[in-house]
Order: sequence, then C-alpha cells, then structure tokens
Amino acid sequence: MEKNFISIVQNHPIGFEYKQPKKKDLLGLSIAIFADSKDQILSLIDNFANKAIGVIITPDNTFSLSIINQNLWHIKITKDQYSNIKPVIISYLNLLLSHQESSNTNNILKIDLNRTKDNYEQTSYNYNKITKTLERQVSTLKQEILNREKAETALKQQNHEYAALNEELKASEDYAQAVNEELIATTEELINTNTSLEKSKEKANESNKLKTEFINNMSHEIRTPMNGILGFCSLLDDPNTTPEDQKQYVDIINSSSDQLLRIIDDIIEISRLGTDRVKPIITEVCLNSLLSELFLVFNIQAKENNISLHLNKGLSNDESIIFTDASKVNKIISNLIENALKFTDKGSIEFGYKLKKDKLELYVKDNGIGISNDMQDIIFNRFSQAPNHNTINYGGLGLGLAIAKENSNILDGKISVKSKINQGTTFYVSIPYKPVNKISKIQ
Amino acid sequence: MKVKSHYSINLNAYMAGSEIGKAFSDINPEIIFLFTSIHYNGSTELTEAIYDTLNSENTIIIGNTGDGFYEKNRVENIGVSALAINTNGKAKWSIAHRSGIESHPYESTKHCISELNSNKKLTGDELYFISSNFNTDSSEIVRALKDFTNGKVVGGLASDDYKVKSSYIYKNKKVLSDSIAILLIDGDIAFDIKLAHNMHPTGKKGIITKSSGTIVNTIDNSPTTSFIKQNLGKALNITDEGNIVFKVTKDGYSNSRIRSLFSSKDPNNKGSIKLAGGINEGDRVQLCYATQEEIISDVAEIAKSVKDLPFTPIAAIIVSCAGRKKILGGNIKKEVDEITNNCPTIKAIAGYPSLGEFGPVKNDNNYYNALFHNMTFILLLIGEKR
Repeated sequence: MEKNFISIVQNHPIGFEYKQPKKKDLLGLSIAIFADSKDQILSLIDNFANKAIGVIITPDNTFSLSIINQNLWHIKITKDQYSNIKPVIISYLNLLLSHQESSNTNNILKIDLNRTKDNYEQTSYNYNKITKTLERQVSTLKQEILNREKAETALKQQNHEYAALNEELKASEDYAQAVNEELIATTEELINTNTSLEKSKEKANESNKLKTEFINNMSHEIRTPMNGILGFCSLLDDPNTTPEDQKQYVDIINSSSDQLLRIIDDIIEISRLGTDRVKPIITEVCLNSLLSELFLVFNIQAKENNISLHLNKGLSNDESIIFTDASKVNKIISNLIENALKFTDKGSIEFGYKLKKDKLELYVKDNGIGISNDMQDIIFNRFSQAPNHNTINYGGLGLGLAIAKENSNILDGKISVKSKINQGTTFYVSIPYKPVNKISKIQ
Repeated sequence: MKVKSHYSINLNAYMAGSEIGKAFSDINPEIIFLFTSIHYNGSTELTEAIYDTLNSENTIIIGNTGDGFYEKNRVENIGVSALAINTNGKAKWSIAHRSGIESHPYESTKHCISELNSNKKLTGDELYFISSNFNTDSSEIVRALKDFTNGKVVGGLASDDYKVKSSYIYKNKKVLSDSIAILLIDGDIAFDIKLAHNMHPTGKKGIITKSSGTIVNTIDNSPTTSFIKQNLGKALNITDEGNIVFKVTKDGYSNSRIRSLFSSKDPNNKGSIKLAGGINEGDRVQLCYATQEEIISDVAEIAKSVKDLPFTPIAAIIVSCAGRKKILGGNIKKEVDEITNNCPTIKAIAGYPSLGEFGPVKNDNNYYNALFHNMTFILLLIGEKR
C-alpha cells in the first residue's frame, strides 16, 4: 500500500522509490514527521527505514506546501513501515496542523489589524483635516460675526442719524407746509384785496363818472337858474318893460333864485351828511303837525300840477308826539314828495305813516313813471339817477334820495322803495317809534 | 438543479481552494462562481486546488477579487466564497475573456461578447455575467454591452481591500489582470436580477452642463463643488467620500442610477469632482446622502419581492458596492441576512463587494440596456423554470 512520503533532503533518499509529489498528494497527508534539521530526520529514516511512511521537514519551523513541493520527494513505503512510524509522528503532525491553523488565524488577524490600523489612520487624518477646516471656518465665522456686529452698530448709528435727519426734514416740511398755507392765505387775501381794489376802482371810476356827470349836471342846474336870474335882471333894466312884465320877470327871478338856493342847499347838505359831524337833534315833535304843514306846502304845487295830494295819519296827535329830529323828518318827506311831484304827471300822491310794532313807517306813494327793479338800489346812491330821469324834462341833481337816505340813517331808520314802471312808486322810511308819553327822558 | 455555496478563510491559497473544491465535489458542479479577497495575491494555486480537489477539468470557474466576500453563512474581509451549480445539462455555460480592458474597454468587451455569441442561436433570454478589472472606463464597457448584448448583464468591477491598487479576474485556472471575463448563461434556467440603490435625496436637481468621463466640472453652469455646497449645506470634505452620491435621473431611462463620489479632491482646482463612474452632459442629477438604515431597508424590500417571482430561486449571487460596505461597517452582514431571512428557498449565496456594478434596469418585465452603477446592491437570483 502506498503512502505519501515527503522529505526535504537535497538529494533523494537512497533506497526508496521516489517521485515529486503533487500538492494534492500533500493534502492527503495523514502522517508526517516534523524535525528541526535534516540530519535528525535522516537518522529517523535510517532507524525506520522500513517503517516510515512519510516525512515532512520544514526549514525554520514553517510549513508551506509550495516550499515543500519544490524540495520534497515522494517515496513509497510499505504498510508495516507506516504502522510503525505512525504513533511517533502523529503528535508532530497534530502540532504542525495546529501551528498551521494558528498561523493562518494570526495572519488573518494581522491583516485585519493592519486594515483597521489603516482605517484608523485614515480616519484620524480625516478627522484632523476636518478639525482644522472647521477651526478655520469657525475662525472665519467669528470674524464674520464681529464684522457683522460692527456693521450692525454702524447701521444703528446711521439709522439714528437718519431718524434725526428725518425729524428735521419733517419739521422743515411742516414749516414749509405752514409757510405754504400762509402763502396761500396771503395770496387769497391779495386776490381778495385785488378783487376788492378792482371793485373799489370800479366804484371809484363809477363814482368819478357819476361825480363828473353830477358836476356837469350841477353846472347845468346852477347855470339854468343863474341864466334866468341874470337874463331877466337884464330885462328889468329895459325901460320898455311893462309893469306886468316886470312882475313876471321878478317872479321868474325869485323862482330861479329859489331853485338855485335849493340846489346850493342840497349840495351843502349832502356834503355835510358825508361826514360824521352831523348828529340828530332830538326834540319832542308832533308828527301829525309836521306832516300837516308839509301837506299845506306841497298841496299848492300839487294842485298846480293837477295832482291830488293826500295825507294819512296813523296815530292820534298825542300818540304822534315822538322824540326825533324834526328837521330831518321834514327833509326826508319833503324830498320824497318833491320827487313824487316831479315824476308824476297825473293822478295822486299819498303820504303819511303807520305804526308797525316799535317802528313808524312813513311813506310817500305816487302813481308816476315808476322805477325799474335794477335801478331801485342805486337811486339812493349819491350822484346816481335812474335812467330816463336825468333828462331835460325832469332836471335836478339826483341828490334828493341820497339826502333822504342819509337823514334816515341819522335817525336810526331805513329807507326802501317799491315801484313798477308806469305804475307808480312808494318810498318807505322806517324810524324807531319813541313816543314822548311813554319815554320820560331823552337818551 | 443542485446548488451549493462555501467559504474559506484560509490564507493559504491552495488550502483555501482545496476546501472549496472539497465542499463542491459531491455535486460535480458545471459552474463555480468564485469570489476572493485580494490577499491571495493573484495566486493560481486557489483555482488549481479547486480543480485538483474536484478531480474534474470540465467545471467552469468565473469570478474575481473583491473587498472581502459574501457567503450565506459568513461575511469577511479576507478569504474566499464560491457558489457551485449543476443543472444536469439544462443550462449552457460559455466563458470568454479578453485582455486590454484598461486601454481598450470597448473593443475588449466587444470581442469577448463576440466570442461568446458566435455560433449560437441567441433567443434574447440569455444572461451575461461579467467580471472586469476596475482600472477601466466602465461607460465604454456599458456601451459595448448595449451594442452587442440583450442588456441582461450582471456583474461588477473586481476590487481589492479598498486601496484601489490591484485586482484579479478568475477564469477557470487562470488568474487575470487588465482583463474582462464574461460568462454566457442560456438554456433551461430561470433567473432574475434585482437592484437596490435608493438613497435619501437632498436639495434640488441640477443638470450636468460640463463633464468629461468621470470628472464633473459644472452643474447648472456653476462649479460642481458650489452645487454640492448649496444642496448639502456645507462644503465638500474628505469624510463625504463614499457617503455622498448623485442620483442620475431623466437621462433617457425611466429609473435612476447612482454615481458615488470617488474623491473630494478637486482634480483641476476649478470646483470639479471625480465620480466612481462616468456621467454625461445633460444628465439630471440630485445629491443623495446614504444612511445605514436606508441601505439595509432597501435590500429588505427587494428581498421581500422575491416571493413574487415566477420561479423559485435557490441560489443567489450578490454584487454589492464596497461603498455600501464602508457605510455599513460592522453591519455588513445584514445585507446577506435580509436575503436569507426573506428568501428561505435560497440555499446558496456567494458574492463580493465591488468597485462598480453592472445591472440592467427593468420595467414591466422588459429589461433596458445594461447600466453601470455605484453604491448599488445587485442580486442575481437563479432557479429552475417551472
């Protein structure tokens, strides 16, 4: 029976059949002799020349199939030889196998350990690198934080300054707004003043125009009687003038003189009324008596004009005794009756008064040519006359109503008119009713 | 169909391979999917041992190195896992490889596929399993896969222990570098491919306005690092590698794919980043942050959907991004546990953590062209047709 037999002797053992074993053969090995030197094994072989079945000798106490394969010989031995050597070498074989396993395990552990060590070194390297990177990043971040904090502080400071500037700006805006509003107000005021001045200018122009017209008219009104006076005075010198003519001329001269005197009186009066120097002279006046006298005066002229004149007394004689300025009342009613006689061709004229609460409403009513609506306000102005009235037919300076109004104002009264063209006119003068009988003292 | 999976943590390549071979010898496998850690240093002894132990030269071996391995019962950083299948001749297995994947990814892939497809009547139901070294332009591989396959491609980029220095491809007894190996599976075998890559989106979507390969220069005409800073709320740093991903949406496919951040270092000092996969100008992207909970729940969700398959899966191959492993850390086994817990019919599981995954996006049982993914868990389920 053949068994594997292996030796690492340089030369093949003498006396045995041999061949180079295959690796496969070595795996089938069941017995081996292990020794430290070839001399030792040779002596074993010599001793068991007929018994040994195989020998494995490993140089330097290592076992490698590759190494053995190069240096081993396969020798055939008999079964008896195998049986003899088996107990001797089995322990060496076990030792060898055990060594082989532990060597393998050790090598594996060594490789694993090296791998772990390499991994650890790589990890340590990575860790250190990352740590340094992180440290740099942290340092950068810290610097960034510092920069941002500085920037934030600067920004806050800037915001603070902006806020202050904003406040100043707002104050400036408010001031500008106020100035603007003042400017607007001033502008409006100027515009109003300008408008007012324009109106005043218009008024002044109108007034100048009226004054010019008045002066022209006045000149005409003065010249007319003056011419009459002078003309008829010169006729009186004519020796051929008859006494009847002379009387007529004298009447005309007187009439013209009266006319001239009235004109001059009106001018003087209106001049006086234009100042604050005219004050009412309050006395006890019987209104009924005053109006009756006026009736007597103007009735003559009324009859001459074929106009009926009527007087309407609103109170009893005692009740008509009032505190007032008699001359002013006289002047007012006289001017109104004169106007009524002037502008009424035919018909009637009525004048009088009514008691309305605490006012006495004096009136003069005619059915003359009337006054248009648009002229009813301006006829009380100085130097203004309603159109159509300032004609050669009617004459006059146009001061009568202005004088009546001024006198009404002095008496704390008010003058007004109602009229329709060709239907007549009624002038009203409303003055306070201050009866003597109820009021003990003149205020 | 007989399936089995096994693992070994023996650092001795031959001994590890012999353990694997010994475990599979009873089923006489037609195919072995082999996934190892980088610690066998490209030794051919592993595959040699498998063949020595199986005592069969007909078994096809395909696989590659990864950042450890997955197996039904164990997940480790060091060792090997394998999955063996015997379909009793019902499935047809063909394997091809091509070198030059680093310099000529498109051509190498194309020739590899051509070799596989030649003299075959392809029905469109074939599956391609792909293993490639990681040092390549995966978008070119995808381009070739789109041009010359039906799109049902699963696999990944071989990797090492996350040092991104070397990787190896296993094709039968050979251990290859700068290569691509593709296995064509057709015949009477059922399979399904599931992808898990849901990540928590953060921020708004942007459009890639300038990119070149895996380098993303600008998004919405702003430097990429600025876009990331705006949407992440902080500047990109080294700890974000592997955690930050881009979800690529509306690029012509109804579903999305993931691109991991490969490096936080600015390759040209102009606000650019490098991804672990190619990306195109015009692609719409959204920043995502990966968490352990989302990764595991995502896998659980696809595991639960396995019961709705029209066949009974008995074997599974896992290709999961090494970035997911990095996030999961000690919880890496939970991905496998979700599969084993929710899919009791699966008897064998093997797989590996990769540096990039290939997997098609499926819609209404129609597969789109193969896509390359990052941060994705790809599950290939194999079983018998009913």
